[in-house]
Amino acid sequence: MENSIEIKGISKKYAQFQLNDVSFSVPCGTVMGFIGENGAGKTTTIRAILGLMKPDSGSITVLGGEAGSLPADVKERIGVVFDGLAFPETLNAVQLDKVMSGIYKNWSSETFFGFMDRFSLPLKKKFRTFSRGMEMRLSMAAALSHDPLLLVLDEPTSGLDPVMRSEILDILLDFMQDETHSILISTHITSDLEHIADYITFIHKGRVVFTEDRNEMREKYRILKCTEEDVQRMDKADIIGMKKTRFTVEVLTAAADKYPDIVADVPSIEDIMVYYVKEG
Amino acid sequence: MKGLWYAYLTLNRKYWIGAAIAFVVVIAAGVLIMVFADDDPASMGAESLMMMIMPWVAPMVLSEAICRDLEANIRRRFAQYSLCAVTHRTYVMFYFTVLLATTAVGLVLAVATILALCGCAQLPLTGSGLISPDDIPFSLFVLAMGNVFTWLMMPLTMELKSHEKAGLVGGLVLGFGVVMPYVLTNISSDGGLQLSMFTVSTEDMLIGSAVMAVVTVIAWLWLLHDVKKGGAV
Repeated sequence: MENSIEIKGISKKYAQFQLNDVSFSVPCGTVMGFIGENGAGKTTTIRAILGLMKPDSGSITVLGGEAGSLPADVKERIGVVFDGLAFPETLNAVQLDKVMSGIYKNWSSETFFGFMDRFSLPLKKKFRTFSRGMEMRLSMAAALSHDPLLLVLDEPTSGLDPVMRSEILDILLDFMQDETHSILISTHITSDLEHIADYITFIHKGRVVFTEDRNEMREKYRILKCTEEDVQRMDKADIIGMKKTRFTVEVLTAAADKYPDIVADVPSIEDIMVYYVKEG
Repeated sequence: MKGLWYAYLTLNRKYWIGAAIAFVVVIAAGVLIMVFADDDPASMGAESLMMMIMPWVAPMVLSEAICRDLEANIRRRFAQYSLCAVTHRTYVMFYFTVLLATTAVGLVLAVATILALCGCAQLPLTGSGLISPDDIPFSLFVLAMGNVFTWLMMPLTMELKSHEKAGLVGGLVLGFGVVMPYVLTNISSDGGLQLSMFTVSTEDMLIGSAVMAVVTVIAWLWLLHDVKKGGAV
């Protein structure tokens, strides 16, 4: 199996929103960062990957099987974190352990309680008393406690303080020590991806703008600090996005080599996303 | 499925407790009605009607939990999470087994209620009851129908994401489409209700059971389709 997830041309039409010909793959043993602004289609795509929504067209293969009809033993190898608590809030961790051990054959209570301890989460308190950060930590603990091959994480670090975010990212890096493991992680906090992502897929208004190797992105994109004259003489096709400041015009380009006389900065993932969106 | 069952029983404990309380209260109320009732069974249409309804109270409390659980799981997204772990078919099968178990417990409760009311309460002078073991088949038939109706409400609850809305739609259809025509066709010439309308022949029960089986299958397929489509969860 070359790819953990393979999406080919999926489309889904809603009254207010459309997912349009989305295609990308998550190779085995890699971390795919899935970025885009609110309402871009990240969660819809993730729902389709998890078989929670049937696309109008296109196909999705997850761990070698068709996403909409995965057998239980394949589903069990997918760890999921939604962007909010997906467990009944009247349960506590001890009860959740019993629920999960009845759902997942590979469920490890030892691992689960180990994470609960590591995340300083109470065992007997009902989830309704949990803060947002505690909910996300609980979701991570559950996702990692049934020996998954693939993690699908929808905004797992939102609502977490920097220390806890760093801890979660360390856990994800630990998880990736096994080269058969893969992660698809959607997030607004693109700085998290700088540390862990091998690939980035950027979705905008229901369309995939690009899927690129994170290292190649570092080489490819530059922010040029231009004057108005510099911008005038640039090839318009080279300008991905532009931001005017008081004294300069900052231009995101993938063709910085053509303008060696202009000062260039390496953009962050967030910069690239913002410039693309502004241009769009 | 074991985990889903554990979650179901834990999260809906209040309904099981409620059904147990209803069971006791209904028997107590039935006894009181008998004790304070007039002696002539023929003049006690309302009391007889109440007696007829009493065995269904506790089972209906249990049935209510099924759709409520689905609704709550959709809202709290536990349905989504569950569907990430189990197949669509297993998820529908889980709710079907809940329905079967609830129906079985409901039938036992209904029979126990009828027998308790028969045993505990006779009219003071005549010594006869307002309900008898002869009423058991009809009672169980109606109870089974109620649970098939509950099952039919499952896909509707998923479509509308609300048990209230599903109940309203289903209730209107059932009320105007089935109950009202049945009552109107059984009303007596003097405008009163005949208690005899609450008896069903064996042939009618067989036909009714076949219809219930068909409706159950249709609701199953509808629910599976909704779960696969995924719009609601």
